[in-house]
Order: sequence, then structure tokens, then C-alpha cells
Amino acid sequence: MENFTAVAGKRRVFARPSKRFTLEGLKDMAFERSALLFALIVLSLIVWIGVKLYLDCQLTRERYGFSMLTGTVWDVPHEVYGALPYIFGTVVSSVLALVIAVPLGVGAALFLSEVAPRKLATPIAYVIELLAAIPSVIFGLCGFLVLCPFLQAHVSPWIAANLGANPIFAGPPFLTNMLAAGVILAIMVLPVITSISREVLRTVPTLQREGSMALGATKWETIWRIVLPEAKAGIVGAVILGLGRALGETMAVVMVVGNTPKIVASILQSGYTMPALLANEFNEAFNDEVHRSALLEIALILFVVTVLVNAFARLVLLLTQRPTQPEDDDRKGRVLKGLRSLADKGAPFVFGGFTALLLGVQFFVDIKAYGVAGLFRPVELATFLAVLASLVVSRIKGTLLGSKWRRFSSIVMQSVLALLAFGACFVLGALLFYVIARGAKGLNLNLFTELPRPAGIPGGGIKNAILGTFTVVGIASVIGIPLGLLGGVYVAHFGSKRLGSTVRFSADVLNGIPSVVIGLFAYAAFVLPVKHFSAWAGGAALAIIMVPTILRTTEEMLRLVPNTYLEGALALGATRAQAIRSVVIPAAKSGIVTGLMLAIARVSGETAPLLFTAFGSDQMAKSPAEAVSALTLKIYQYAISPYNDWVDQAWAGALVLMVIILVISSVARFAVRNRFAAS
Amino acid sequence: MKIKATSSFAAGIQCKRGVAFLGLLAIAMGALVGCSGGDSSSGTTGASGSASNSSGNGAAATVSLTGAGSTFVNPAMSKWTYTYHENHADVSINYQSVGSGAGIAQYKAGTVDFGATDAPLSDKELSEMPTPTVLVPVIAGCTVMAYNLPGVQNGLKLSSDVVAGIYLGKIKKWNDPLIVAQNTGLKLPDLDITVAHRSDGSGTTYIFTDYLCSVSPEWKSGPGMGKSVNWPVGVGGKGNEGVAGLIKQTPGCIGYVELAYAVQTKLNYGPIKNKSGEYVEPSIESTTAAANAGVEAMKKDIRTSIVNGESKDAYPIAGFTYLLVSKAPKDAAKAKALNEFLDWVFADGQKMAAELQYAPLPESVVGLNKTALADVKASQ
Repeated sequence: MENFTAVAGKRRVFARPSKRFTLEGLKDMAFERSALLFALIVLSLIVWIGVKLYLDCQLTRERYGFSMLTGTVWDVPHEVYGALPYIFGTVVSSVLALVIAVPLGVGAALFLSEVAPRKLATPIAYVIELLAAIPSVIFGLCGFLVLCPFLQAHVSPWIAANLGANPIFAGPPFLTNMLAAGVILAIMVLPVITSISREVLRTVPTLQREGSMALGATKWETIWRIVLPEAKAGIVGAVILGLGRALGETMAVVMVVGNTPKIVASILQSGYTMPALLANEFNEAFNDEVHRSALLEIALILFVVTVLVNAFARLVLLLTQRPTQPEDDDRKGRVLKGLRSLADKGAPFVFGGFTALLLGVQFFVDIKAYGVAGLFRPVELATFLAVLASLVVSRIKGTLLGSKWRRFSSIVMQSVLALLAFGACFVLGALLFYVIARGAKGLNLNLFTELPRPAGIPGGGIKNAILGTFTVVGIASVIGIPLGLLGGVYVAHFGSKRLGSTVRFSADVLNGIPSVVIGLFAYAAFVLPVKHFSAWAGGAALAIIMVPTILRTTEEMLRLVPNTYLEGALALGATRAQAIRSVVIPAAKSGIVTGLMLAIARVSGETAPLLFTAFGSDQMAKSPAEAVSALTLKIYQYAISPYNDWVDQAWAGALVLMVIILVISSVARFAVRNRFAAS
Repeated sequence: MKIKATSSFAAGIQCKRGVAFLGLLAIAMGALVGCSGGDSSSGTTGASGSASNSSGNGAAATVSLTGAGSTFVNPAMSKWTYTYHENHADVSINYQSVGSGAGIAQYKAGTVDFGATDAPLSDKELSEMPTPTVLVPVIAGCTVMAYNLPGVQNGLKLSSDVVAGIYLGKIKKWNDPLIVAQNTGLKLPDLDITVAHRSDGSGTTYIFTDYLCSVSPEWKSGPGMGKSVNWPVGVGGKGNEGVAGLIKQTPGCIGYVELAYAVQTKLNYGPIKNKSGEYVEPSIESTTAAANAGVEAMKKDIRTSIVNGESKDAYPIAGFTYLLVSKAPKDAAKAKALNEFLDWVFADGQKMAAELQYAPLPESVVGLNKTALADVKASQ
């Protein structure tokens, strides 16, 4: 892969097609130019979205300025727009998600790369990656109908009874709350953190592990003192990437967070997030310029934050993953060092600080309530025990008992890692169980052959939504696939190094922009000008989401083709474009198809962008120029409804959608393996 | 990266790749079916994909209308559009229950053919519409205070003070003395009240806050009245559907939903004390009483509020759903279809809605509508 890039640098020597005005020459030129054009379109998309959002929120930017970021009241009729409750909710739910997902995700990654035998690691890794393919709206469905009632019945009352004096757990718990949002988000960012951390861990040289073990360290000591510190910077990148995903997550959050714009410390109370606000209010904001502008400003904030977060994460990962080059040794070294120290100081700060805060407040309220007896409440006793245990352990260091302890703790910690990995699998298992068990109940032939019945009348089906999903995804594929493919070809084979890496980088960043923001953009760009909702607009929005995934996988797959293929074709007299078209691309075809299918699977589960573009319908659309429904839209509408029959159909629809997506992505992963990829 | 390219492996890939292409083919086929699935009618709009406003000039052409807005009216509206399409195969009406706020906004943006709102538009809002617009009441309904209270069935009595107190966050427990005093026979649990309200811009909220403003000076000077307000307490649900869903899921929850939702989903609700001091059950009769009391004023201004009416039989939280119809429609075929649909709604539709506990429009309001719509017809 790397030596290929080096050779590609010299390609101009023989790259120019000589027969410029023959048919072949024209074909070559058209191929190269269209690849360039498509690559530039990808690049300009991100600029276009940013600029459009910036210009469209001029009204509130000028009227409210920074006070919008600090205002705590969002009062539409009185034209008071303060975004702080939404910013607060977004940050709190995301941090909560990371607090849960980081130990779980990094632990699972450590288990997969360090502890588990390959035969076990591969299926577990696959299962965790499958979690990433599950649509947001299905998380929302399970969150609202399973997790929230479960927390409400079993967890919240216990927390409220035992820790309720603590402001973080205060107040009568609500069904929909921050905790539920945090848990759901944690599950959603888990695959991101696990799979990328695992990749990072793989880059740690085996020699280091062997050296450490040879010096007598236990496996756990090797993991904790050698492997983890080496991979730290990259893991920070993975966590930040997970943060980017959590910040922009929409549908799952909107269903479980409670939609209450209040700033309260308690995570058992309802909150609100920026993406949720956009999903709830954007459709009604076109009546009122100020309201619309305020929402677009929120979208702009979200856009800027996610772009920055993703760009930062990508840079970190780029730095950690690419082999050191002499000229940037210094700079890279400094950045990595900075990141490691960030991880060193940051992780204890976040986790230690969080724990200290919780414990401190708990001690305070218990002592206030019970006096000295407060020191013997469950939380306090547990804390004392933990401190005592760590003292004992530090005392026996170096003794015979100590070495036994080391071996014992190594085994214990490895088991803990295994538990974390199996925990992640368990989550997927539970999710699948609920979707299958409850989906099967609502599954019948009518679902596929009938149109929705009027509200509250049992029966009917969602035929139009199933067809709508195929329509919208079909349109997205027709637009998105050529764009992504040729863009990828350009980045891999034609572009100058700088333009190529710029396009690649912006594709990565585009990939991290919340889909709800893309939905807003698609409404302004594709719905408003023609004045009606349509499958076309829905497809266009999904195409934007599809392009970066396709571009990146295409590029990677092309780079995996050994350079000799290209050189051989060139030596036989093919022009560069011919060689790429007829030799390199066919060689990478199966890998590219995998990428296409994963992208198709991903957009099949998108909901938020369709709210503002495809809009939904209970009729059969007569043409793609009309508003259409989609499975995800119907699942959302039915899941939050009070009608039992609709809820059953939401589960059944989720089952159908899940089958479609899992079939596509399983086929992509198993049936079509790239022949050049490392096995 | 290790590179493997043995020929046997490559051969294996060949057949696996075939599977992948089959999969892709299947998706493509599905997409085609999706695109062409309903395209049994004229091909005038299909392939071009342009915003063809002039479709439907042909005699046999079908008309598709898109409407959006009020969730208050959705149980009735979805039944109307469904039944109407069964009897008039050439007209299909796609009504999306997205909330009155969104209905008004999308009507203004021109992305739907009609809007539906329970919050009548102000003169200013009307003047900002891109085309002259007429407000057409289509049905009257009432908003009930629905609750999920373990051990308590229908019939919890609530006065306006209590309703306002709960929504202001002053009454926090179900066994609050103010609630207990009105419900001597009921055993009220020591349970926290979870307040549910709307998270989207809503005509139901408008009617409800209109009522709260008329009974509580504190509410009037505080959150005030509107399609969406700054709620002192509670959790937000999307649409009447979402609020009803929240109430259903949450023990101790109270929320305001249209009567049809409460009846359809078997939520509990009770009588509300009206202006004359009577506890009145929400029903067709009590809503009709409220509507009839407002008729005279509606002759002057169709937007007159009917909340907290003087009549002793009137249910206090009632209102109309209005359709937003353009007076100068661009598309004659669509305008004709919409007019015929509305004529049907004023006749057969009213009876159908009564089955869902909506109150039919008073005769004189139907008369006002016909006059207003005649105006639309003339301007074509």
C-alpha cells in the first residue's frame, strides 16, 4: 500500500494519454475529467452545506449574537431564543454515553486484540460491527418501548431511593430521561470505539509484547503498561470519533430524551439535545423567519462542532496509523506526545473527576442527612472497602504473596475484559431478541400487501413504506454510487497528493456530519426550490450520506491492488485511464461492491433526513416527484403512537428493515471478501 | 499489508462475487419496483421528475393532494382521506399529521396543497401567506385531560385551578389536597405527577394554553398562549400521538389530547369544571354546546375562540380545526378536487367524525364555509 503511493508520485512521467483526439483518447480524458469533477463535487458539498447554513441564519446571528449560545430560555411565541439547554443536553448525553461506552468499548477492543484467540475474536468483532449497522430509529424503538420502561420500573426507583439526595440523581424519575439517552448513545458509539481501537491496537508491534512478557510481566501488566500506553493516542482518536457520532445522533435520542429544554443536574430528568430540537421543530419553522433562522443556527453550531471533532479525530488517527516519515518526525512526535499526555491527564481527569464528584456529593448529602451514621451507608462502605483493598495490594507488592496476586489479578482482569466484550454482544443479542420476538407478533402478509389504515383502526399494512424505502434508496444509489466511485478512483489514482488527501479528508469529515443537518440542507436545497416534498429529494439527501462511505472504500480497495497490475498494463501500452478502467478496477471490484453494499445498508436505515424531504405518506406514490413514506419514517411514527396495533406494526417494520440491512451487510462482509485484503 | 493473490483464492472470489452482484441486482430491482410500483396512471409526471404543477389536465388523470398539519384532527382526517379514496379512486389525499405549526409552515412554504391547524391564523400571519388564504373550519373537537393513574379509572374531576396548578408545577402530587377535595370518593395515590405536553408546534397546545390563559392570570403573564410555549414543567411528546403514547407508558402521567385519541386508546379522563361551575364530561354534546355558543361571534370572525364558554353545558377546552385553502390556486384540477373533498367532508364526513367523538360543525358554520369556498371557485 505504501510503496504504491511512493510510485504513484512519479506517475506523470508516463501518465499522459498520447492519442488525445482519437476516440480512445477522448474516452480517457472524459474518464479522468469526470473523476476529477466528482471528486470536486464531494469536496464542495461540505463547503456548500456550511456556507448555506451560515448564510441562512444571518437573521439570528445579527439579532442575538453570542447571547443565543448563553440564553437559557427557548420561547418561540415571545421570540426568545437561547440555545444553552440544548447545548447542555447534547454535551451531557454525549459525555454520559462516553462514560459508559469507553470502558466497555476499549475493554472489548483489548479483549479482541490481546486476549481472545482469533477464532473467538473474529465472530465477536463481527457482532459488534453489526451493532453499527442497526438504524438509529430501531435503537429509538427499543429505547422507548423496552429500555425506558425497564429503567423506570427497576433502575430509576432504586437510584432515586438510595441516591436521590444527590442532585445528579434527584427528583422523581421520568420515563424518558438523560440516563436513557446516555445508555442508548453508549450502545450506538460502542462499535465505533471498539472497531477503531482494535485497529489501533493492531499497529502496536508484537515485539513489544514479547519483550514485556520475556521480562516476566504478566499478560495483564503487558496490556496495561506496554500495549495501552503505546496505543493511547489512537484510542483517544477513536473516542473522539465516537463523541462526534454521539453529538449528532438524532432519532434514537429524540425518542428517549424527553424533549424538555431545561438545565437540570439530575440525569433522571428529561432533557433535550440539539439534533432532537431540529428533528422536532424544523418542519414548522418555515412560518416564522426568526424561528427558522434560530434552528439553522443550531444546525450550524452542530455542523461546526461535529466537523471540528471529526477532523481532529481523523487527524489523530492519521498520525498514529501512518508510518513515520523523516520530514514530519518532529511535528508528529510532538503531536502524539501531546495526545498521550492528554490521554494520561484527560482520562483520569474525566473518570476520576466524575467518580470523585459523585462520591463527594454522596458523602456530603449522606452526612448531612444521617450525621456520622451517614459514613456507613452502602456507597460509603463500598468506597472504604475499595480504598482498603488497594492499600493491601500495595503492601504486598514484591512479596511472594504479591507475585501470586499479580498472576491472580492478571487472570481476573482478562476475565473482566472478556466480560466487557461479551457484554457488547449481549446488547446486540437483546436488541435482536426484542426486534424478532415482538416483530414476529406483528408480522403478517397484510404488512406487505396493504396500505396504512386510518389512525386508530386496526389492521392494514405498510406496503407503501417498504416500497418507499426501496425507491428512496434506489434514487440515492443512482446518484451516490457514480459520485462516490469516480471520486474514489480520482483520489486513488489521478489526484495530486494534496488534492487527493484533501478530498479524502473531507469525505471523512462529511461522513461525520449528523444526518439531521444534511436533512435540513436537503430541504433548503432540493425541496424549497421546487415547492414539494418528493422521493427525489429524499434520495438526494441519502446520496450525500452515501458518497463519503463509497469514496473511501473504493479508494482503499483500489490502493490494495498491487502496483504491478497497473505497471504491467502500462508496459503493455495501455493509457493510464485504460489501465485503471480495465485492469485495476476489475481487480478491486469485489471490495468496491462490498463498500457499495455497506453504504446502501447504512442509508436504508436513515430517518432524520427523510423527515424533511420524503416527508411520509399513507398512499402509494404515483411518481418519485411525490412525497413518499419509508420504513424508518413509519417505524418512528408508529413507535411513539398510543395505538397498540401501530406499535406492533412498528416492531414488524423494524424486523423487516433489520432483515434487509443485515442481509445486505452480511453478504457484503462474508460473501465478498477482497482478495488483496489481509486475512 | 500482506498481499495474497493465489489463483484458487481468486477463483473462489469469482463465485462469491456473483452472489454479491445478485444481491445488488435484487436491490436494484426492488428500487425499480418501488419507483414504478404505483405508476399505473398517466406517465406525465413520472420520468421527468420536474415540479409539474400542470398535471391532471387530461380527463382521466388522477389527482394527488398533499396536506399537512394538525394532529388534533388526524383520527378524523385520516379516516376521511381513506374513505374518500375508496369512493373516489381518482383522488388520493396524503395527509401527514405533523402538528399545526408544521402544517402552517409547510403551507406557507408552498410544499403542501392545504394546511390544517387548530390555531387560527392572525391577520398578520394571513397577510404573509404567499397567496390569499381562507380558513375553513372542518370539525370541532375537545381536548381532554387524560391520565394514567394506577387504581383510578375514568371520572377524576379537575377544576381549572388544578389544571393550571399542575401545568405551572405548583401541584406536584396526585394526592394534593386540592385534587382530593374535588374527588372525595376516589383513593388518590401518593404519586408524583408527570406532566406531558407537546414538543412540536401544536394547535392542541394553542387551544389548551388559550384555556389556561382564560382561567389563570399567572399562566397568562407567564408562559402565555401559543402553538408552542415555554413550559414550566413536564416532558414533551410529538403530536397528540406522542403525548397519548407518553401517558400510556408512564404511571402518574397527565397530558392533554384530543378526545378521539383518549377514546381510541382507552386512556382515562374525567370531567372539567367549566365557567359556570359545572363539571362537564368531554363529549360530542358538550363540545357542540361550546361550538353553538360561539356561532354568533364566528359569523363576524370565523376565528373566534370557543374555550371556557359561558354556557353551562359547554366543555371548556374545545376548538375547531381549520383548513388553510388558497383563494388563488395555481392548479385548477387540484383546487377542484380539494373543493369536492371539502363538500364531502361537510356532509358525509361530519357523521363519520361523530363516530370518533368529534362534534359536527354547526349548520351556520357550514354555510359560512360554503360562502368562503364559493369565493375560491370564482377566482379560478
